[in-house]
Amino acid sequence: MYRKRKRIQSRYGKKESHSSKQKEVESASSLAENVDYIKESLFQSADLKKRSVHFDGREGMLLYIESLTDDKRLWKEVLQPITRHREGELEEILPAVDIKPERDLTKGVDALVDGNSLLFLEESREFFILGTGAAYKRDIKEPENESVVRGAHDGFVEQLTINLYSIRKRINSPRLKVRFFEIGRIAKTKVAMVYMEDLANPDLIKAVEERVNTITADTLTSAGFLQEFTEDAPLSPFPQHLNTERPDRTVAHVMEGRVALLLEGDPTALIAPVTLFAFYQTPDDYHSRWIVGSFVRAIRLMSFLIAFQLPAFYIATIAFHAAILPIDLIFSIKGSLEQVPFPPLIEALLMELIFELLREAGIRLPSRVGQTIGIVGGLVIGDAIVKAGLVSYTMIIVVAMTAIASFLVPSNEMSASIRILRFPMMIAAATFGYIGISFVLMIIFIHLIKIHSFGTPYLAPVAPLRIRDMKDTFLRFPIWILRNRPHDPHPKRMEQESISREWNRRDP
Amino acid sequence: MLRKWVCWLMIASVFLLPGCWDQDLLKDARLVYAKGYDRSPDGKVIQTLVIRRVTPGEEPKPLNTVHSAVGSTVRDASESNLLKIDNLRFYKFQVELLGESLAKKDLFSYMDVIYRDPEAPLTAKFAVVDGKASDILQQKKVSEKLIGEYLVKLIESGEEQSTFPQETVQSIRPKMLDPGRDFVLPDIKQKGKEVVIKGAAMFHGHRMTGTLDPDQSILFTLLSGEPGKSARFSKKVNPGKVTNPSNYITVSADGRKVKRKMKVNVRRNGEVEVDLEVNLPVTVMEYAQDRLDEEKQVKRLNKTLSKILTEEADEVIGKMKKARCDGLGVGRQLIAYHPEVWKEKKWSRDYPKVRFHPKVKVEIVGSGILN
Repeated sequence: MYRKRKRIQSRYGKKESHSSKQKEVESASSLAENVDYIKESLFQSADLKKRSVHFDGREGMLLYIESLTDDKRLWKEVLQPITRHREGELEEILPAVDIKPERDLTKGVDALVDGNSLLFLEESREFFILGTGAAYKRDIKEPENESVVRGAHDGFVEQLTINLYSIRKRINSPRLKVRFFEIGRIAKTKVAMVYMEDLANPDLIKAVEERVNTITADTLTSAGFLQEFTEDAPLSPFPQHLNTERPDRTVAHVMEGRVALLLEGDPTALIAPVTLFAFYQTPDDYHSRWIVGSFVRAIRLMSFLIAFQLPAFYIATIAFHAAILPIDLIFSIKGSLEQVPFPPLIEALLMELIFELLREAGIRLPSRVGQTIGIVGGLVIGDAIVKAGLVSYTMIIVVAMTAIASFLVPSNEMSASIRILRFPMMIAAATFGYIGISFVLMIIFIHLIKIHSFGTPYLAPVAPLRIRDMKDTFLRFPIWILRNRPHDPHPKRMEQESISREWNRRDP
Repeated sequence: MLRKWVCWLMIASVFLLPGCWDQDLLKDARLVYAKGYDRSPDGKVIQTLVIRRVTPGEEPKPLNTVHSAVGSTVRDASESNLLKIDNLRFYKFQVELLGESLAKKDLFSYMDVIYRDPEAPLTAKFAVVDGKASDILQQKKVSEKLIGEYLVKLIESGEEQSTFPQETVQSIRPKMLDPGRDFVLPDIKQKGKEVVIKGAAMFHGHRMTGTLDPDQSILFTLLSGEPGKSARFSKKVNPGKVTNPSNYITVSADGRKVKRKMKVNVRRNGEVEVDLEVNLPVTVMEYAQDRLDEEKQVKRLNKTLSKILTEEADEVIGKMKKARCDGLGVGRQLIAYHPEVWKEKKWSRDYPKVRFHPKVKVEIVGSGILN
């Protein structure tokens, strides 16, 4: 994998990949020449607006991209003061905006695209970059796919600065470090890497940095791109970054010594390294009392097994090993199977297909029509398909159970992976019965044990076994027992809590 | 390109197809619920199968169909049944009835096929039928209940009340092959339109050699130390008219609390003596004369009941000796503890010479409200 990336890099050449090393273009002293250059650089784009001004007795030209600029600010903070004063030092006249003198026209173009406006004056080689960018902000709302019962109800938004604000607000520490990367050869995207300087392992930081820096794509449109460019085993069905839109979840992981990657324009934080079990933890586990949290987590881990094995076991049972069914059950299952014209695998695939169709359609449809899907899917198809004798009742129960179990996973990526995994399981079950299931399970677990996420074994703390980390794996032990951080991201400092309940011991 | 695809297709089919060969769809299986074997006068096996079907639809209704076929062996008969019914599956049969005519011959040769089939259910029950097994199965229904279910319930309740020894496909096999141990199976018969408990059928080696009445078979399960949930007796304990119910007492023993001690002693002259002691803590279920709060009364009843049951135990053992059925496993004890004695014995000849000293001790522990 690594070798491949190197080859790609050499093919495109390093110079081209980093556009910051473009040739400088000195601005001319003629106003018209400069304006023409900018216009040409933007390929005569229609939303580039210009406005002539008089300042210091000279002709000037204000250039801005209409869609990126805040009209009101431009009028109030730039045009009004200039027309009123007519002369003087620009920085004194315009106290409310960022002013940066510049001579390089390519930088001017970059600034323009970023939302700034440019002020050119006649007979001057210097021009000014004025920070008048518009910022349309979305409310900080709770992410819909990661809502919790109790606890914080804010989420990430599409703006990186706001997301960083959410994280910094929670970690009031000078040790929280943010580093920026500009990724993309054509359109640059700002990527922020957030970690605790005194916790995150230096090797991990180096690895993340290296992988992010080697990305040579033209653009990064979403966190998914970043994920695919940086993960260890890109062919694996399992996600190796934890995607979350919750600041509190991100902060919890950062405080365990992990690294969070945030992307401008995407309300997702990618957390690395993670283990399989991280996908089954939710903030809710820690908000509720530990007994409740443990119970819910145990159920969730059970759902992991149900979600990809139940249909396979059902198929294998009715196609190969019906003898294991208790006598009373065997006849009720048989009664429901009697009319079905398909072999169990086809029956299951048909039902799974219908379910996946309904799920996908449910996401795409506007919410008002969405209800119809529920009625069509649940009532009409679910009931009619049995009455028509195409699918048995028990199969519907099995598929419904599986569907519910797969949605129990707090992470959407993991949920999707598991839904995919049950298809090979089902095929193996339909061809070899329980033997087929055990073989596919073996392959899956061998794979899980083999893969790493940024140097951390994916199945830790089960393989390699580390019993002390089990406290927060299958169950959620009381927080005062979780003295040490989990071992898997190899944090610099292990202890996270020491004697919080000392008062209890002091009393006689 | 095409060759590459064909190659892939072949590899895929190597992985996917061989399993399908072993597929055995529940949907198509004709499940045998109960089966029965009889012996025709000319020595052939008559196999009668009760196949449970379910009417498809929203509310599945169970249905029974009964099929019979003749063959020179069990498997042969199955084959001729298979000609009539496709996809016959035996992996869920619950009960096997053995006609008396067949049980009195070599039973083992009829059971061989069960023990060869890895899918055969180990918990299925056996019962010997006084008469023909096919007659019972052909009834299809007994008092609104399907015949297979009815038979299973009948045998299970018999086991619960200690009337039948608890034997299954799994448990009788070692007893069948053990020279020092015989087995006893439930015995049922058809009475009008009903099927009733007849007692127990005693076997020696692989053949049926005698029967026990229901009362006797309860004693047998107690003596063998493997009673069911409870064991119940009604005995006449007072002098007086036989027709007066108040002269009788009905007691019930909790199967878990029954203690049995069996000791096999070998005399110097090679004679085998067996001390058999059964402690029976019982609860009075019915006794119209009551006065059970008086210690004297209770003691008298204890004594009378012990005496009656000890006498009856003697009778049971007499019957067992006559049938040469070593249902208590005396021979097994000899093999284990006195192998040199065992070597000199020819068990089917010497077993009736064993001297038993049975002793049943009844103690009334509950006399009031039933639980």
